[in-house]
Amino acid sequence: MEEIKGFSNKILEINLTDKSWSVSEASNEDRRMFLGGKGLGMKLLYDRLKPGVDPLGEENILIIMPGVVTGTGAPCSGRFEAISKSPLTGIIATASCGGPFGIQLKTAGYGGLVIRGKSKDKCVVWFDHNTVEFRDATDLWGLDTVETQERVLSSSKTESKKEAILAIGPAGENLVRFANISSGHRFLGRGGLGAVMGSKNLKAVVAKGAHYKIVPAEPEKFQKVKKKATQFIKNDAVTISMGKFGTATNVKFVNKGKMLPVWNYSFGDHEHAFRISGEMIKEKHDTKVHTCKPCSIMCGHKGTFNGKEAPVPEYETLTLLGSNLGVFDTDAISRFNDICNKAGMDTISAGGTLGWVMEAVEKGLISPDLFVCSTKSKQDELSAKKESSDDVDKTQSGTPRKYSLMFGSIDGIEDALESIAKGEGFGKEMGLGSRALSHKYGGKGFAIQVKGLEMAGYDPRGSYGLGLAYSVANRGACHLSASLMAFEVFLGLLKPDTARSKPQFVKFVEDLTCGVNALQTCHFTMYAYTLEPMLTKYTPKFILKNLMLWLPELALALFDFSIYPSLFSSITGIKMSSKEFLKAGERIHVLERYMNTREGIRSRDDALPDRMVMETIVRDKKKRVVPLKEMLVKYYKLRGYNNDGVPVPKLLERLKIPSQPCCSS
Amino acid sequence: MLPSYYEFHNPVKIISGNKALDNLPSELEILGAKRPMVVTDKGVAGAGLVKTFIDSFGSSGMTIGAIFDDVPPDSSSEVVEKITAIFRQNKCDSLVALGGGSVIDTAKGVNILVTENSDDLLKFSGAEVLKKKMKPLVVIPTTSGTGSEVTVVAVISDIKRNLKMPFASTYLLPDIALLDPRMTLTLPPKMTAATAMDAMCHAVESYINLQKNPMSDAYAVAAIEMIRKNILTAVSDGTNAQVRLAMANASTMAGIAFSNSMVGVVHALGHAAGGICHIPHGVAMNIFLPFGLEYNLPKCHENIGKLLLPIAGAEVYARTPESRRAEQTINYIVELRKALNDLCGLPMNLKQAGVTEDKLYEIAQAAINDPSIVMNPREMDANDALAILKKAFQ
Repeated sequence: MEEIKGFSNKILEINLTDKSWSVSEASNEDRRMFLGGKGLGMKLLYDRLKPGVDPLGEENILIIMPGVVTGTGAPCSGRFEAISKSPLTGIIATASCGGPFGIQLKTAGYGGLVIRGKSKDKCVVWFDHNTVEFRDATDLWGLDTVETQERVLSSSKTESKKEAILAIGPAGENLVRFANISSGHRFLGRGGLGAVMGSKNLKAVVAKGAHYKIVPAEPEKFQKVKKKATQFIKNDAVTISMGKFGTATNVKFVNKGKMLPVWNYSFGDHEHAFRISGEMIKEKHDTKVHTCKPCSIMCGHKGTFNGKEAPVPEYETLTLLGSNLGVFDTDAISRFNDICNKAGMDTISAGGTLGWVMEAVEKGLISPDLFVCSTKSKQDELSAKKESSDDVDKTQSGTPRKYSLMFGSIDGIEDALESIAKGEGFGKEMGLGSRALSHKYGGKGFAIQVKGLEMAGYDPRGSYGLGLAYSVANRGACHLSASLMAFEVFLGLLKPDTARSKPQFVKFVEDLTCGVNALQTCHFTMYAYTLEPMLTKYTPKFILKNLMLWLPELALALFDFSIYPSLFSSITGIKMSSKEFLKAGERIHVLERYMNTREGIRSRDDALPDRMVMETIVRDKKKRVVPLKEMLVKYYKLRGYNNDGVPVPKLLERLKIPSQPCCSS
Repeated sequence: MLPSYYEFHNPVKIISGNKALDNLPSELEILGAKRPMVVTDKGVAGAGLVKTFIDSFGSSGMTIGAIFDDVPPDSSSEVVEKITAIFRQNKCDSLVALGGGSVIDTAKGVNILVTENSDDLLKFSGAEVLKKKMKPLVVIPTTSGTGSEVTVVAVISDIKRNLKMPFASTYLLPDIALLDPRMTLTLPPKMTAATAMDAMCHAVESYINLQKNPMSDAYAVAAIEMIRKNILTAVSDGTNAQVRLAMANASTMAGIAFSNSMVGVVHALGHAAGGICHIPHGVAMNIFLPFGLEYNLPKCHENIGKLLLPIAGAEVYARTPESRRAEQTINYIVELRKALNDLCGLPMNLKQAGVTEDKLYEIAQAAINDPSIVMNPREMDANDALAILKKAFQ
């Protein structure tokens, strides 16, 4: 088998319009500046995508990037990234996934895949190290993500079944703005990238890899770093807890910190929260490991739900399709999860949208009749039921009692999700997301989204730093841009209800996260890789806490994240210090922001929903609301943005970001 | 709406507190008792509660005339007669019931025989047959559910004649109900949950049925709110004395409510299922409550809707449109049952409780003949009962 030392700069460029393909080369300079994964993908997109294009139009581009660590056997290195313009937000969307596609892409010899144009017919793209095929997908259209992957794999001509697939389900085909892309049992979840594929008539992409072996440029150094990294993961309490209880281990911290989304973020905690906790799920559903591959943290699990084996819903699903709707029934949430997974739909945006719908019904902004069982079969079933029980079906006041969506009730949720995926009835409107709905029907203040992206399962009124992070995150209300809730709530290192030092920490974590996403290793390695090194581990907690609050710049200097640049250097052979690594992260973050400002993003868009800045959480004695304005001013200054949130030329110059892209397109 | 006429009666003195038991000797003295007999069961004795009880007498000078600690879970007239003999032999002059529903009903039965100086309980079965003021009776509940410490009723089986003898008389009301959390601290989670749902059913049914009145409503609403706030902690952390005391209070309030306004279809179905398939009463209540409410919905949508306030709290009540409050109330109960199932495996349907489908018809027939059905807001025939049972089956 041929070898690739660290990475390949070969980029496979596919044009669906004329069914052509070519291979371009990323420059070594771009590789050094933008590392790989999300970073290099962002640069590729910057060079190719004109501002202002329709995200669902022919001109939009979908880029898939393996990471620097992908295929090397480093801990948690089974991830890859997608970058495009989002049909949900109208700005840049990025998504990370732990499915098998990334490794196949990289071992087919490519450092990236660029998909542009629009196929006339429904198609599947197959490629290996030296060929690209465009096959008809008429028979696959309408199949769910699981069926699609099974059908495509079964049609593989090779016996070894080395192919890995990116596939969309009905939600992507029907242009649901928060449709996702599946790979194995994992997803490129956020921002509606499934709809981008759907708009291109692209049902699936199949990569046959295993042609190249990925070897590190400096094997000895790599082994040393890998050993250390593995040890950190084994020792870290947070990652141990995730391995045991999955991401749902967060539920207990979040509920205690009064930041659990309940009833569309009205309440911050709930007496039934224990029912969706990782501990209860482990006990009740007999869970086993079911992770991305390779993985050392093992946060993904499967268990027995509704009498059969199913993936354990992730924390975000448990909260957005669970507590946020007032649902704590894990079997029901598993069914919702299954519908979303098979349809290829982001559970966070689906839950956030349904949360808005339930509240809009409650407030009388929309009629419940709009969305009662919009599918035809369900309508027939309902009218049959109604005929047989008309006497029971009236209230004392004569108002029709039949309802479908109500906080706290599981009734109607499955129908609603299916109608979204199929684009039927009011489902078509729900498939546009909560921002679009609130623009049409009112209720903007309780559309819990930023820049059009529905908020993740942490109420920022319990974690002000996260509030700032949500408001400035490039893809919208994303919890992974700077997961400050980890410091503020899970680890108890940073006082949550103060604006102090939050801008500094948000900027630092954003930059570091961009670096991590460029390596494309797991986000959760950040706990082990930054908290296990000696300085942070052995500094007494009260000193660390005070330093973080009062002297954040000094505290940040204590955070040793050198594992990341060491991984990069040992794999690529390119020397890189921690400072340079962080600067690369900063460069990636600012480039994405700059691209968003070219799409019209300004300070006014860095806003949290009114609920987060004007209303307190029910029963919150501290009456907290996010003090966004004061944090935002300081954050812009730290970032080098002007008052309107735009990166100034001096900043672009310092980070060597060209103010005009080079014309690779 | 205010009924044109109603009666409400509860003369039982309630003594509640973390060390309420310590007041027992002086309270007995006030009642004129000198040699109380203690009636309890093996479970209570095994949990060390009898010792706590005896210690409470300390240096009070009061003599415990006798202790009977072998009341079975389904007490019978034979047991009552046996205890009556011991009572007489030891020249006791009063009764202290330390236990759950079976112990309390047994003590009430003993009180009938020793007061009437008879050995035939059957003679006194029925409503308002008893005519004499009884011996002092203090009840110390060790479960929080039956409410027997404040009710006018007792049910005792006559095994020889294979019948259940109901007794109903204001004379059966105990003199004192003594609520001490130490008495319920060791109650296992599943039993805690089942008895709490029994109390919940008492309160909910008393609030929606035909004999409801403003007094019983007040007790029912207060009981439901207190159950809502404490039930999950009581089940998950039984050692929390404050929570246990709250549950004991809630159970007593629910008992006062239903003792004055009676219960409905949930109890009718529960009694029938209990009689035929021996499902513990609290388990049956937990299974039937949402189905009973759904059945009654067309007749008392508004009242069920009003229960949303105590069952879910002010914020949820205020946010829920009036037209949907009744559904939300039922939904909250459904979710509470799921939570209890998650916490301790309390069965949510008849199948889980071990009932086989072939018994449903028999249960339905028994349910429509149960006296509890009389005050239910919606009439129920055998077909209705069978339909509910089928829904509750799995």
